[in-house]
Order: sequence, then structure tokens, then C-alpha cells
Amino acid sequence: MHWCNTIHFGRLEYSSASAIEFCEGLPGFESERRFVVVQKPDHHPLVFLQSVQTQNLCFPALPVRAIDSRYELRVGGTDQEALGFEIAPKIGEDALVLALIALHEEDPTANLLAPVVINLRTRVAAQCIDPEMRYSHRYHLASALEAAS
Amino acid sequence: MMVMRRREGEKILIGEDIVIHIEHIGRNKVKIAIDAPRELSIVAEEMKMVREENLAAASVDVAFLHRKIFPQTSSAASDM
Repeated sequence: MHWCNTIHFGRLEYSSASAIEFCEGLPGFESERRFVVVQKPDHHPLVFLQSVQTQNLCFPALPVRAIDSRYELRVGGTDQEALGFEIAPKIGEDALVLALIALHEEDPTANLLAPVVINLRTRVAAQCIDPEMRYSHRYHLASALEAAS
Repeated sequence: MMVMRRREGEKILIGEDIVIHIEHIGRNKVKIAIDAPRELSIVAEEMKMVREENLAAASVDVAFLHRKIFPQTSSAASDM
């Protein structure tokens, strides 16, 4: 087991198998390569991408299908290659697909335009911009979650 | 805003230091090569949007977010 200190979760233990690797970091965080996906029952279905390098870097996220049950994943050719997928990945089978959550004037929004795509087999990850730009980078969550409940 | 028509292979010059080369025009995409001073930041618009969203996501107060999107279970999140 490895461990890292985190602001939100204290000392966080993780195995190599549960760490994910962003070969190019994320836009704005290019040097952050290694994260752990943290799930806490109290926060379900929220999940957290916690950096193992930077203890106060933690992105809240939701699985894209928890936001939009009909979400369709499109990954551009370069991203597909970087992620090691030979064919277009399927959500849940090949890939864990998470939308990062932000707050804008206290309104939660999800970045459905550029989800984090994690190859479930290799744990390689990348933030992939939809090549067809079909989704919003500031999708308002309130309406989606009200509809789901 | 200035609008200019260019064919594949043609170039646009901006000032002394910036050259924009229309390398290839496909069915619904153009490939553009840009020569510019190193200190100029050149990114696709959507990349800038993603960076801004990531910076916002990194500074979210998680307990507040949880109360906001799951008000019915907010008491459970207060320990974080």
C-alpha cells in the first residue's frame, strides 16, 4: 500500500491498482499526473479525484450517467490512442467517465464537455474534450438531479 | 473583426512575428500551423474553457457542494 496526506480525507491509503495516471495532467494542472478515485458512502454518488502529489488538490466529480442517463461518450482519435483504446470505449465496460463539478455563484455545474475518462483495464486517464462539442462545460446540475429524484 | 478568405497552403501574417499557415482544409476541419513568439500563449478556445472549469472545480468547498446538490442528506456530509 501507498499513502498520501490529503486535506479532505486525512491520511489516505491506496494501492497501486487504485491510482490513476494522467500522462499529460489536466488543463491547468499539467504537472499533476497521479490521482486516486475516492468514494465515500456519505457522499454517494459524488466521487473525488484526489491528487497524491498535492494534498489540497481534490476535484469533486460525478459519473456522467448519474447526471445524464443518456450521455454518449465520444473520444477523439488522439485521446483514444493516449488512453490505449483500440476501439471506441464504452462507459462502464471499458471506461469510468467522470464529469468534474464546479460552483458558479453557488450553482453547481458539471463539465460534460470534457469528462475525465479512465481506462478501467490500465488505469490510464485523460480529460477528453468532446470532438463534436455536443455538451456544455457548465451543465447546471440542479435541474438534472431534481429530475432524477 | 477582420475577415479574410484563404485557400489551402496560403498564409496570413500578423505583425512581424506571427505567421498563420492554412495547412489543410478537410470536410469539416482545417489544419492550421502557427508560428509565433514563444511567450505568446496559443490554445484552442475549448481548452481555455476546460482549464477555467478545472480551476473552479479544484477550489470547490466539498461540504457546501454536497449540501447544495443533496440537501436531504446534508447532515451526513458535515464531518468532511
